[in-house]
Amino acid sequence: MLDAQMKRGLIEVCVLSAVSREDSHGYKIVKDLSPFVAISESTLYPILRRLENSGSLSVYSVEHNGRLRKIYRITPAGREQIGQFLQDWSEIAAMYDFIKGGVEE
Amino acid sequence: MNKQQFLDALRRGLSQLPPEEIEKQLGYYSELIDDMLEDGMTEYEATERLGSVREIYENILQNMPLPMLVRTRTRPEGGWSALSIILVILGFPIWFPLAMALLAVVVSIYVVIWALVIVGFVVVLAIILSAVLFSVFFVRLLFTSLAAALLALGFSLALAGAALLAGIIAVGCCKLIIKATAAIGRGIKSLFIRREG
Repeated sequence: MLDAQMKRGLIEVCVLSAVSREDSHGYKIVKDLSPFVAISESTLYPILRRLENSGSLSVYSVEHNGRLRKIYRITPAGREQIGQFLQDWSEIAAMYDFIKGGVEE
Repeated sequence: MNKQQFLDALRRGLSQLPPEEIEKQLGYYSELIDDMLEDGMTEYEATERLGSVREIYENILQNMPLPMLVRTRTRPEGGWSALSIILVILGFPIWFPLAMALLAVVVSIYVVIWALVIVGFVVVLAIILSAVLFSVFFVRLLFTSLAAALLALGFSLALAGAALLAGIIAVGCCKLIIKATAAIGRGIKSLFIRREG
């Protein structure tokens, strides 16, 4: 079972990644992520708020079918967060390879 | 339930939060339901998919920072009247020192508990040192009396065992206190979450 804190951090970066491909809104993000990550609509919202407060995401409203829809867009800081994650991950991957190599011998 | 019932129930569950926060949360879920309707779901299916309203708002309240829960709890309906503001200010010399005294007592109790834990670790350290001391005796007595040397070795091992046991207990107590602190924190938070009767 993945450590809860680690999982939360990973899901955050996943959300950032989903928005980085194109500006998106809550429902679409859940749909895009669901093949890869188990996330509910209710879990997503606090993450979006947190990312917005930390400056990784910006929000704007768009008219859609006569109602106002909130769209999220990634910021440069958000892209940096993704870059940092990928860098950290390649370090972890190197250690994983080393550990795996030890088991196979 | 239909969309309006869902949103009304959610609004009731979140009623103790600041109005801006309530509108943000409701806006999010309203938008979600509309998106699901566009996707071809019925209102019934959409609200089913979102899950239990109660679970949703309890989760929201639990994860709200305490200041937001407290602010509305202590705000009387209709806002502060001029009289109550004056009374609070005039009463400051009375309630403020009392509140500070209570805070000081609570903090002191907490500090004392941790001091006891530190004492526990010091005791473990002391036992370890005496174990080391006895093993030194053991080595030196080897040249004089084998029986005495063995006695010293025995003491050393026994003390090492005691240190290990005491160490395990001390670490266990640490973990317990940390867990208890977290639980008390959650408990205090729940005090501020108003439940519908």
